Amino acid sequence: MIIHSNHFRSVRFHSAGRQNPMIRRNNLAFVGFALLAIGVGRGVAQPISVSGDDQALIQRHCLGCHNDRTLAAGLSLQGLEVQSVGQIQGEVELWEKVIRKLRTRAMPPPGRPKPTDAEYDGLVARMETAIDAVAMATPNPGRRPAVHRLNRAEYANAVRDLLALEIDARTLLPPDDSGYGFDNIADVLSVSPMLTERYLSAARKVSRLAVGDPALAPSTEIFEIDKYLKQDGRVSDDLPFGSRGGLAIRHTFPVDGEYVVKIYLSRTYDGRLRGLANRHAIEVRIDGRLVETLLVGGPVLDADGHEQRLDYRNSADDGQEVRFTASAGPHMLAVSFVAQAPVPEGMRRPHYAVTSYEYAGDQTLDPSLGRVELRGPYAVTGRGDTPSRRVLFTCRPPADAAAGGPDEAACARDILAGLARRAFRRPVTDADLEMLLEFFHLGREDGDFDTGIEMALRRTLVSPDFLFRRERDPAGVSADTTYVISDSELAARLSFFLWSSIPDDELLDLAERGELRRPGVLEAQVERMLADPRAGAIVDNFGGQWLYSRNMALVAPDPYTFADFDANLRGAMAREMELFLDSQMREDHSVLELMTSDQTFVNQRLAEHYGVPNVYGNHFRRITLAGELEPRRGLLGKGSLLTVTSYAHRTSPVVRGKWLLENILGTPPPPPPPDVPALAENDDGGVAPQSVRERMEVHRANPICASCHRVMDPLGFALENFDAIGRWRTTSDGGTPVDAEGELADGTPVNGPGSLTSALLKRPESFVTTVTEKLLTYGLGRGVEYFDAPAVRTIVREAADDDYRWSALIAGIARSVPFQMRRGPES
Amino acid sequence: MIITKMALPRRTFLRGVGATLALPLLDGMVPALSAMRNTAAQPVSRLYVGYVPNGVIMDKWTPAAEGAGFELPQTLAPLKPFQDQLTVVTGLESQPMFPLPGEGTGDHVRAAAAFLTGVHPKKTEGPDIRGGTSIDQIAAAKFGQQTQLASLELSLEPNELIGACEAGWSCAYSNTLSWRNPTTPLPMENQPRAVFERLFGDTDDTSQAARMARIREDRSILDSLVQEVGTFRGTLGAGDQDKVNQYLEAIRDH
Repeated sequence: MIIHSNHFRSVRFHSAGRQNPMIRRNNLAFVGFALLAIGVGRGVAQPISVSGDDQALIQRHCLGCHNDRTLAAGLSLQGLEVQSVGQIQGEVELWEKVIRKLRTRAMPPPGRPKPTDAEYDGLVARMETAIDAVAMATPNPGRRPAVHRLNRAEYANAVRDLLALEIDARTLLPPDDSGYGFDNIADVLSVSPMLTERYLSAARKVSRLAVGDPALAPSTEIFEIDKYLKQDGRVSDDLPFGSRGGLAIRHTFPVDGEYVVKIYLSRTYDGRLRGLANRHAIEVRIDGRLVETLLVGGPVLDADGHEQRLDYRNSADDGQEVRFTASAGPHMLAVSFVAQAPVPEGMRRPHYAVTSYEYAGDQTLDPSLGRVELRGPYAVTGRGDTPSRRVLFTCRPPADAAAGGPDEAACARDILAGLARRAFRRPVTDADLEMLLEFFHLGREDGDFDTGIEMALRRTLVSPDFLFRRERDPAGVSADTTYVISDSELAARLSFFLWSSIPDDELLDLAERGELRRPGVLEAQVERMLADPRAGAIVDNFGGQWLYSRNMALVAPDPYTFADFDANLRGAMAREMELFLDSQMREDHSVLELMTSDQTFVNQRLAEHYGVPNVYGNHFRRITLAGELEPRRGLLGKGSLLTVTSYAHRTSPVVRGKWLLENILGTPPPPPPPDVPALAENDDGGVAPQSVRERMEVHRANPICASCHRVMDPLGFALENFDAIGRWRTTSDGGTPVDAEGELADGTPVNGPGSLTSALLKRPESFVTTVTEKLLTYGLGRGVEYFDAPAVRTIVREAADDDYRWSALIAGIARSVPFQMRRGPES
Repeated sequence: MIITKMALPRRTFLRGVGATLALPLLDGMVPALSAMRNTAAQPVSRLYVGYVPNGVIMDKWTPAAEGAGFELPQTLAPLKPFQDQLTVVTGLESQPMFPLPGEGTGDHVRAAAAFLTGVHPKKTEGPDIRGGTSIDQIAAAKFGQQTQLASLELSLEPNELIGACEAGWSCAYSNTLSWRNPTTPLPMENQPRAVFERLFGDTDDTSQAARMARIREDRSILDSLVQEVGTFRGTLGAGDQDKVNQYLEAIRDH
């Protein structure tokens, strides 16, 4: 049979999608022969360039809906020639969309005849090769904005690295808006008057804390304890064994002096203290050393030696305070009860959930700590010797130096030159130093050498060169040119990507000497940076946002349905996710193991929740998920993910399905149509309770709904064994057994989390591509666009040789076109 | 009470004080909010806006009859002592809050964004958010001269949700009520301590001497900053200046 265009015109594409299978098979046979014929000369079995046969494939499977008349989803392929893919700039974005749909087998939609796997893979590979070849010749790195404000986390880390000072940025600065799922997107990070004021105020506080201010007046820091924290055992690794409840907090004491810790116990809902019929001991420790033990409750003897039961209901924590001397700098403040033996046999304590009404009113329960106030400094004795002072004061003027004289100025110049270089991430100019010295003298006037440095530091911290990341265009570039960014800009991109912070001296030195791009240097730096503790920022900021872990602090499971969801469990879930991600990245596993890993971390509270036996104590330890716990392997079994993708009172297979589509498969669904009524809830009256799945039958019954829900819902149903707070269950809300069976959009049957994971990883590059795109968005600070697709494909391809390890992906990103280069500005 | 704003336009003041470090109080710069000005006869106007997210029961809020001398409805009963200064306005249903045809869900987000702007926000989950300038900021721009701070945006809870708050809408829309301009939502302050410090400084000492010293220091920093940011901005192309413009404006207005 001879294939020529006439023949294809005669093949009508019916709207019902039926076609003559005979013709199709024959076409395929001939296509195969033709392909082989082309391939023989090169010794490869597959052709590498898009051909007329690919055009035929598209016509057969796509044009029936995606033509100018029907215009399904607003897309028409009519009149386009896939042979020219990559060559017509205006069409590339469209072809990339096609490629994505074909790669994930999302198109043709369920119910239509699909090409074979070989046809899919072949067509996509050829299209990608064509586009990538053009991209190699004329790369498009996109254009990061020239100015990119540091977000709150980056500000705190920059202060930490600049001054060896830990600050709580959440109290100093407002939260940042996010875009594309991350809060480090340049375009979204705007500046408001309120933020400016906060920067000015933060600069004052940070510089005062870093240098130490002997004239500091006392103030009060309040540390509240979550009222839903169950304080019946050791609650932190920073508290001693044998302690009960309380809190441990790392706090930077501003100066040498005296401080007061005042303790408030938690109260019932009507304001009374608890559990004071017996005596309890509260220990206050600094850096583990016992400062004082306070006693609350219990009987008191009167003048005749008779026991007198005082009414402690409101006053037992009056005057419960400790005054002590502390040196300036970071210290661990710990306040906790001493655990006492439980009540004698025969008397059972009622077990309440902390969220329950009964708990809120019961005075007889053991007391817990409500909040701790740290007041001071009083009787200041000096600035002290703190890490930040050691880092800042790289020299000291001679003792007899004149105030503001040449000796002091010389030392100030030294200090400020080093400070400015690291703060501004570039070589320091004379103008910078002149400006900072002016402020040194201003501060020196009313104080001493140290206050002079403090003032200059304050000025540094509000400078635009500190608060913003700059990327400069070289002279003469326009929107048609692309250029390689400078070494110092690359150094900053690397450090903000991997550490969410400023570059360190080693990076700055390499950049200044122009050596960052020497062969092997970049790779070595990436390796060094990933091994550094600062790389924990990727877990916190990338992982925390991609996996919605930050929302774990904000979710509010319904206290009636999930009475046992206390702050202990909430914290444990968050910590598990942190430790899991951290171990995956630090141990440089394949990113695929995020989904399949049999390792996780639990403490007693979480282990009880998951049904893991024989785990005791508050600290986390690594466990292997085997046997009955197999369904918990990987991300899909993590309590954190399962809870943030649920509603307060029940699971939502749709929310979970949507999350998986967006964040694992990289194919987000379109928004719902307007006026969709709410799903009937189980207590809507009159009807027997049903499982969530049963109530979602309407998604399948209604064809308008089905087109999207057929793709989303099965993903969520497969996870229905995990309830809205991630507990394993075999009975649904409706009392029927959980039905976790379904069929994915590409026809793969699934039943439960294990098979879902396998199905999601059937084409592992899809998952790796999604992770790469997320990492690239996070690393670039801009959304990933269609023209980044060749770079993403290169990264994924190269990482395949290294099992898709984290280091391979990250190094690939660091080497990639969008990371190393930039497009010129629009005129 | 310490006055920090002068009667002259701020920019004039900034330029005048630029090089000097002391704070001159010239006759021509009698503080707008001095005891002379803020008397019962000429009180300073302030605008307060309160948002009640779950709404009110309208038939217990709306007076039965129009005109003066109306009977105070149940919810408003505590305002009885001020009834003669009170006007209840009806007919203010916010049309921009309603969804456009085909827009779908998003009531909470639209309500927050349209409340003070009267503008239907642009539906997007991405960084291209667009609302409108809110009336409190319009008032702040016009009357902010008369008070120490032009505007305070306060909330009771921290708003830090990430991602999309309702399908298709960015959380930036529901994290605030106040917009400086159509593309700049203003963050809301929920820590009373921070507000106190903005007004009175962050030490225990609110005496005049301490505050004047603080103002002096702030001014020097701000002047130097205005210069530096201006230079910084000059090195940017027109399309890239936006963020820095916001910073510069915010410094100048401080």
